[in-house]
Amino acid sequence: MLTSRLTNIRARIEEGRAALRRRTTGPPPLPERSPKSFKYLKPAELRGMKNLLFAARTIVEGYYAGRHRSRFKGSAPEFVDYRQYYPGDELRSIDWKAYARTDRHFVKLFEKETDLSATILLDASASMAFGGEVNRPALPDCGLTKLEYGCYLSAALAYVLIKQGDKAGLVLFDQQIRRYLPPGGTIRHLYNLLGALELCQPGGHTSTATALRKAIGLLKQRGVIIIVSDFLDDPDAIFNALRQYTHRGFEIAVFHLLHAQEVTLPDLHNANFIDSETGAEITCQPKDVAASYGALLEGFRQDIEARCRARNIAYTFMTTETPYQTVLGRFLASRGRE
Amino acid sequence: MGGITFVNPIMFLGLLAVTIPIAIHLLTRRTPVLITFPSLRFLQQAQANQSRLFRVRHYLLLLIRTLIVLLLIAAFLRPVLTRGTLAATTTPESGTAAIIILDTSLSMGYAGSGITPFARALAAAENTLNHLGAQAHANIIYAGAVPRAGADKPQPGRAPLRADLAQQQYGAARADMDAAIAMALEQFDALEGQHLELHFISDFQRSNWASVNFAVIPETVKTVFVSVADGSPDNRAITALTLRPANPALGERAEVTCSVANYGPQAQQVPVTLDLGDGLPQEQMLSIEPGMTATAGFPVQFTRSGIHEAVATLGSDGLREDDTRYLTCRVSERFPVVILTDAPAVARGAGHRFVAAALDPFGDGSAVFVPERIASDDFDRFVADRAHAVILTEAGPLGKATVQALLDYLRDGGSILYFVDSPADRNNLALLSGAEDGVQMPFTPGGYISAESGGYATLTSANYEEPLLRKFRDTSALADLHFFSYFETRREEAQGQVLLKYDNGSIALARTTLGLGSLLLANFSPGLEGSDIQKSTVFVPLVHEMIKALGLTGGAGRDFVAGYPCSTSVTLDQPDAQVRFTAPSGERVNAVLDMNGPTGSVIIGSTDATGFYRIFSGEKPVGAIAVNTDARESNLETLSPEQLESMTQRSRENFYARTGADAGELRTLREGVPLWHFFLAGALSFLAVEQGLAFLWRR
Repeated sequence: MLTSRLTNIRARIEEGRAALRRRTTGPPPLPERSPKSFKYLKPAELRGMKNLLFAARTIVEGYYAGRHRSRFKGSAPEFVDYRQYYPGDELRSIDWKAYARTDRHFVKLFEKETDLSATILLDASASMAFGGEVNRPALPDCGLTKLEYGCYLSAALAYVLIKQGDKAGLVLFDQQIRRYLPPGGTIRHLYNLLGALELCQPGGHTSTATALRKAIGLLKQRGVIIIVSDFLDDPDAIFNALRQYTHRGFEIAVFHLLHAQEVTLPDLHNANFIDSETGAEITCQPKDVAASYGALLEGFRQDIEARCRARNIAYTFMTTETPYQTVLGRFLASRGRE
Repeated sequence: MGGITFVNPIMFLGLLAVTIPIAIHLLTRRTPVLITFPSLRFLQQAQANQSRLFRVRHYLLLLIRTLIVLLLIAAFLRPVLTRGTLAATTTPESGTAAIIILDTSLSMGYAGSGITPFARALAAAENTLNHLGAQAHANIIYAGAVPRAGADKPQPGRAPLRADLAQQQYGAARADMDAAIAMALEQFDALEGQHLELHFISDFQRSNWASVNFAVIPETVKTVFVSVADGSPDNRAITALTLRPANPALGERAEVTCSVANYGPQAQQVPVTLDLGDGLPQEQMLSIEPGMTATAGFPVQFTRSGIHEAVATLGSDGLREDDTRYLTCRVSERFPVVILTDAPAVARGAGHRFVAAALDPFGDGSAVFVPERIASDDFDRFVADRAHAVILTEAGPLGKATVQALLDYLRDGGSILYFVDSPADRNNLALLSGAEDGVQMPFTPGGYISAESGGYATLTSANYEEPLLRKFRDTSALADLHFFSYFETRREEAQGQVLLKYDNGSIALARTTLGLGSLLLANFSPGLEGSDIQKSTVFVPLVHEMIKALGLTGGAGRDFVAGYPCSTSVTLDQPDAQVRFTAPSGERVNAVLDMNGPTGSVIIGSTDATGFYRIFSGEKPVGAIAVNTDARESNLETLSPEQLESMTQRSRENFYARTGADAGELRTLREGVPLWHFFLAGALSFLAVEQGLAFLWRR
């Protein structure tokens, strides 16, 4: 009993120390572990991401002082504004010099840097299973599934976030929330997140809008939501659902992920396509419909992108052939410029 | 298969390859790859947009690719169009026997363009021999006046035929194509089980070929017509050279008429020269329109009796042989006239006595005409040869031999004055007209009106436009004549010419012709019982005019053409002298001399050249025969293949026509038209189309 209590105390002390370190120097580097340990985050790939930083574009709420601006005004050194004193405010926050000049009590407001809380919403529906072993017999060069690619990307994002002292959460969804990991900034949390990704299997129908509506109830803290999905759903419903997030001040980043052989139909003379979600079938000659299909798909992608731009949502399109490190680097670089 | 055969039929197995594109198409359609796909909504929309169009494209591409394979296979099959070629029915297994009938007639020697049709014909014959299969039997028949075969029968060996061919020359004669065809068919008859081919190599001169009887050629014999005609012949020729009267008397004014034809496309000024060998040639200039004939008349008067040789010449052109024409002019001091009668020589009032008296009024032999009375049965060709004219009066029933001799005499240009003056003449006229190729009588005798009836007829209608009666136009002497016995006549329409008519409408005098001869029918008797004409002053001149008139229209002498026998009569003063015969070149030739007393007939069986064939008794010339080209050979207008086909009335499978001696054309004719390159080009074209469409649609 005593031993267990000592252990808990030590853990709290250690956590407190870690929090102290994060406050000053950020999260510790990810320890070198065996590559077998985590499928979606390999040490060799981490080296390319050690200098990446995830910059918050909007004011976020955070419990810890960090590199991101917070809507909470406090005693941080950055003066922002004055406001009238109300009873209950700390007396030390009154600007006496202003009182001397105006004979009124004003309180100085300072912008407080805080931690970024980012939640990654990864589409784990059946449509994300395209590519990989399932399609290997027909498409030998299909590479990763979209879900696998999304896991890699999500893992990297989480790592970058946690590495810079922010918090990363994870929501795995198809037509409902299949798994939710609240944002966390510890290595343990990162490990949990990676474990959740590894255990993730493609599920049923996609209903991104439903998942988004359900997920917003889970997000207590305003921050960033990163959606990784193929968006093969009703765009109107998706963006209606996203409206709630924008109203609550969430910054939204969209990673529109399609498979390379989904964008460019495989070079087959004749194929029987089976819808991975509905089971519907269609037989056609990919060569024949490739051009028309490509135009339709590009139209769909442009529609998604236009809707995102209209809502000030960061939009990044990628295919599974694009190295996710590259995608991540470009995305973060673009945020840094903004 | 519509006249198409395949040289490489094993490639029909390649038709299996047609299944390849179809199989690929079907297999790719029916064994689709299963792909689990994220979303079908775009695919469904794309397919809805594109599927119908692409299905059409697919089927179009499938069709084009199948066509490509088919065309390639067809090209490798090496198809040959055999329609209209000898390959249509000839198979390699069956033997072929081919006979070439080579035209050696005069027209083949036209050299207007530098090379004669005959030279082209030799090359064509050589090509034909070369392109016959190794096992084929071949022969050449040279079609001249008398056809001659290069070998007794078609034989596999070509060397003797080629050697013989190289020695050939065209002749001066007209080709007897019917005889050549008959010879070829006779040789074919000895062959069995072979495909028979008859190749005609000629200029297909219209005047020579229009009358050829192709119907005798069996349908089993394929006929090939190879034209070697000159493209634009321009020929002029002397087509006739005649003397009028045909046998002038010494000192009599006569005229040599020369007919010149212009067979060229343009009008010509043609100088014509007549040379009688007297050192005074006469020349006239003729202007002749294209396709027309003009005549030049040369007045002559012979001062020496005997045979005169006249030669008419033109300016030389592409066919030299017909620019010269030869004529023998027999000038006599007196003309024997044979009177055929079966009445007793001493019978009083007999018509033959009055006729003889009319011919030689003074009875001292000083007249031009020398009457000779013989019985009708004694008339034969020897009598005919010496007779200037023949008069029949009071003849009894004519024997068959006499009738035939009279008809031959007429056909050869003889002149006969027939007094139809006895009931037996009805039967005689029937015999003369009823014989094969007999005389077309101007009237048919009806009832005989004899002197016993007591009446008489007078002449009421005369054709004074005729030279015979022209001298009697201004006298009424003819109308004063009385005729007591004569035949009522029935006119045979369009036959002969009526000169005099009785008051009862019966014909009194009429003229008709047979061959080159002329027959004058006098429907009255010169005897006392038949008429009073012998008492009239017009009798003697009328008889003389009748004899002359006969000579004007007939008796012009036979015009012998090269290639055929020629004949004449000669009188040999020295029976013991050696008689020899020479060709125009001076070389001796063989001839048949049939003597009957001092006169005899000469027949020269072979006349290869034009000119004068002469007869010598010792060193003295006693006769000459002019041999000329056949005037029909001078018109070089040719028959087109279409006209030939129409004329031959042969089925298309057995009629082939080509032009010239081109070896390639002959090969095509024998082997057919190769078509493989068309199919290959088609396949390549479709391949290009397929690639183009695939490229277009891929974009």
